Amino acid sequence: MQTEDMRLDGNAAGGPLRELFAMDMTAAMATCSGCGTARAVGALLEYGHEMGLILRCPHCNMPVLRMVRTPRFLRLDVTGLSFIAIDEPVS
Amino acid sequence: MALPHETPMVDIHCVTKWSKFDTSWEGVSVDALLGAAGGVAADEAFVVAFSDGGYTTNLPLDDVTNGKAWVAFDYDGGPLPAEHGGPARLLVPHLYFWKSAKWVRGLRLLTHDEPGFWEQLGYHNRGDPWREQRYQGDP
Amino acid sequence: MTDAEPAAPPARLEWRVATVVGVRDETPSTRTLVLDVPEWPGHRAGQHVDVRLVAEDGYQAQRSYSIASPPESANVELTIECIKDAEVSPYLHDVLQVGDGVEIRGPIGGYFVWEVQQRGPLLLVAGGSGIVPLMAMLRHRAHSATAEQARSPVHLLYSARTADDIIYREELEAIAKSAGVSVFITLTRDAPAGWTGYRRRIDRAMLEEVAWRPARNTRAFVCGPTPLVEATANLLVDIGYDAKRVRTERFGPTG
Repeated sequence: MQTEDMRLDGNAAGGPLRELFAMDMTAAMATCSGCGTARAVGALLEYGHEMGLILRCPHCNMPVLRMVRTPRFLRLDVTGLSFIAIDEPVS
Repeated sequence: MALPHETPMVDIHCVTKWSKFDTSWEGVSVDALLGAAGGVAADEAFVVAFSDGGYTTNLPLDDVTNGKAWVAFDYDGGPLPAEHGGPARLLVPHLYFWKSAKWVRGLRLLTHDEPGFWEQLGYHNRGDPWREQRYQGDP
Repeated sequence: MTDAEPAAPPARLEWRVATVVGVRDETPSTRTLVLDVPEWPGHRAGQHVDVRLVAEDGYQAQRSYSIASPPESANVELTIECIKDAEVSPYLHDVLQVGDGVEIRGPIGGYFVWEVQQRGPLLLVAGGSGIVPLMAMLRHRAHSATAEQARSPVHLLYSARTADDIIYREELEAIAKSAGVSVFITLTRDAPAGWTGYRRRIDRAMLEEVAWRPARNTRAFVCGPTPLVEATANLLVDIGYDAKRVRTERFGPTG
């Protein structure tokens, strides 16, 4: 039901995720715990923006990662994420 | 369902600090909906509004009764557009606007408070802008 | 037993104040900011920066902007489309002057990036300001040795509303003359007299004419308004592209 025109993708979450994981996450392959599909984080659908970060699986719409970060706290829900694989870039 | 329509004109307050004044809506008051649904049990003190996609938000029942809340389907004289939460959204103008759940599908009455989608991630269970209740732990 | 030398930890991603050293109007609604960023670590074509504005009352607004300049550039260039009533772009587009500072963080991104060493036919599809990161890729390619360029032929399909909205128009016309590059433009609202390009929204027939026949080493990058990006990516898969070799970057609703 959410207006699909407005959504971004995991690329837009690159900055906040880089802060959290200390490395680029947009190229990481994330496996959705809902449907088992593995996709690059950059290809996940991004919602939320003003309130926090929500990345959803493009296949089954499950929230793969949800995050709110303020100067006072961090909350991270990754129940939708069952696995992450990162390959170092070939130099 | 032939419930009476009301046309509240209200100010709305977004948690990211902007406000919009004198917005006009049309909808059914939550009081009328609860009445039509058979009323509220004595020990039901909390509400969870739920939308498609698993989105939920929780509020005290007191904050949606006695003329404080509506389920709105028209905005600014026309049907509520999808990007603003149409076809219907909850409208609770005296609380931060994230409590006014877009694309609302229903209201569930509970005896206990149950943090919703954003509340699980640290946002306040009530969200009163006059007390700046943005996050859990704000007084 | 010693392990191999561990790689240096990645540089912390920090907010830095960049100085505007140049401003260039591209179209009536877009302009390029040329930024001098202290201790800029360099970047890859396709990456972006986050820009942060802080109001006097402490309110912060943040948006991402693709880097228009190639890795070979000393300065960092951002091409900003002015979106009416938006929170950040009107300030960057209308207010910021040469000499002003602006807070940025970057470079960010490892998915929507391309290096000329990756070889193979490249299909670039842009809608509106989605041309920006793809232009960084084209400029990066143009800086490379001829032999390298020959290994990465490019087809660019660029959708704009009118001819006046074509960002980098002259540069694209020049690039279109170089070996191994074909530029296709489609105008969706209005075309000037004598226009010989496409005149409609991107559809399957257009992609079938413009896209490389999908092959093992073909790559596609699609960037622009969310509806265009999603429709195009789906069509590319329909015509045989491997979904994993179609990379997307959504800019949100049409400006």
